[in-house]
Amino acid sequence: METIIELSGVAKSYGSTPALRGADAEVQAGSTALVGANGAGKTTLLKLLLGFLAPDGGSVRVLGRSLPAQARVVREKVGYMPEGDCLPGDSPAAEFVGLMAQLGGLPPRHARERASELLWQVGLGEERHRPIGGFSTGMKQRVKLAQALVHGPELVLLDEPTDGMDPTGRSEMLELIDRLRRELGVSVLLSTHLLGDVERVCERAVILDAGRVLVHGSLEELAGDAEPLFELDLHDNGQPVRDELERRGLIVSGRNGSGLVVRGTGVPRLVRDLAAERSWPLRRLVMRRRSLEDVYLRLQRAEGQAG
Amino acid sequence: MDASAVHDPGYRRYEGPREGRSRRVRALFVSGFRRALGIRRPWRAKIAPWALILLALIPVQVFAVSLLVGSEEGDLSSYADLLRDVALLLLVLTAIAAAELVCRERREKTLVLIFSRPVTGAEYLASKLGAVAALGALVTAVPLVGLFVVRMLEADGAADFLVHHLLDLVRIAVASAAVVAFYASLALALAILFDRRGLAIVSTVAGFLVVALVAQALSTLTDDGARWWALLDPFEVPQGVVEWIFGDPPALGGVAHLIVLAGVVIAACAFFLLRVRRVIA
Repeated sequence: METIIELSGVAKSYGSTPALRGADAEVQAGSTALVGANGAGKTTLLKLLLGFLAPDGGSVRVLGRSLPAQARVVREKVGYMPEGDCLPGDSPAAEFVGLMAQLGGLPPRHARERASELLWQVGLGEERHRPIGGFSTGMKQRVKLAQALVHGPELVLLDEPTDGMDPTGRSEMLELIDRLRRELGVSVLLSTHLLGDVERVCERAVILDAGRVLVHGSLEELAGDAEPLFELDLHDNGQPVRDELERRGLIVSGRNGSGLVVRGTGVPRLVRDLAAERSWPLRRLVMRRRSLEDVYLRLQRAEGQAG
Repeated sequence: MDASAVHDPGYRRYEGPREGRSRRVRALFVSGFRRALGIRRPWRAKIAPWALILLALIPVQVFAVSLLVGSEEGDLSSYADLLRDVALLLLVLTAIAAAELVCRERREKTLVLIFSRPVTGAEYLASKLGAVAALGALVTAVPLVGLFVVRMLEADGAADFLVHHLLDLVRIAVASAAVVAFYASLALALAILFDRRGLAIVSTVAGFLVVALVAQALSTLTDDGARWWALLDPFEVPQGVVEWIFGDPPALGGVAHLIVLAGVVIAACAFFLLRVRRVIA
């Protein structure tokens, strides 16, 4: 799969405060999450990817071009949706998105048509001639997404796209983002701290912490990079089962009245054999998919202990 | 089903034509010029620019009326004097326009979006300078051309006048360009410092007036001050160039004024670019 972003030892400081400390990652085409707590270096990384900032050390390449040297070429092919307010309050949405299309090189007639089309796409067709200042937070987020897409980019950088949206609006925004990849083949880099959003629309994740890339890869790879979890459903409270599994060195925690969560390799074979041998009241044994939150917290704990 | 779904044409990639640098500059220029004139904006946004433009045209209208009632030729102002008369209007107009174009984009953080496209600092500056200067030309070049037309109509033979004074039209264009470049670049360099339009406008107008007053005060302290103070006075710097262009060079010579004017324009543009880079970083 095509690599669209390459980071190699990227460092960036603001005065004496380091924002990125030797970040390394390769991001493939598709939808990728940039995950990290506030201050992890996400926004700095996005600014480096657009060529707004030059790295103090290391190299940044986007769509095969080096940044910031080839920033103009990269920006022709990249759309950016920043976090927070960035829209002109007194401009009608269609006029502003049309201007952004022209700045992407579209002739005026095409720009007007594309702006109108994109605003319909994001659900603002009826409101497109109204000044943006009168829009709700969710509507403004949609205008920001429309302007990021209007010039037909290959990659869009989305910084907290569901920030400030209500649950319905958030769900619709995530659906729009998911459609970008599925229907248009546009690659997405989604910067967020909302791990639920990531699991819904992203195939891969880059996890940043304190200016370093802790890990990057597909969500499955990240989740698999730890001992697997298994859920056992039993007909009774499972105390003998728990005792036996713990005696054999497995980590067992209670899930609810008749369920256990067991962590470790070889659990299915062991449980199957023991259940047959001792007639355990086993109803169900399934592998639980490790959530991104599990992975993120585990990595953060490991990083904290190492630090 | 909501309204958007009814009209949903499905996502599609843009496969149409693409243009380059000139499209980006033109798009920002047209958008800025319209905004500065209050076009497609609430009526409040139209009052100041249009009032100032109409005020700048009053002298020419007076000349035209005096021509109709058969007044003497001597009543007509010179081109250079007419530009001196509109200098304050030009200052206020460029200050308002620069603030309208730059402060809002700073405050609303639209600059970040604009520069997420392949727009360079030089292209952004060129478009903003062009928009403010084009607006400035409405209170400089337009009245001067009006004066030229009045003179032509007043002359015995309009065609002969046109042939013999064609160079005046070139002088009008060059003088107007020099003056608006000076005011527009300074107004933009000051506007980029502020988020608030009112603060930018007041700072620009007050800055010009204070420096002019200081320059004139300095001129009274030295015997030869009357010569060099003109190079410190922001009203006199472009005016000296204008007088030189129209054949009446100032005391220190037109070249000295031109050098100072060019230096100020270049410094103001460089400062503007530096500030823009800092704002988006």
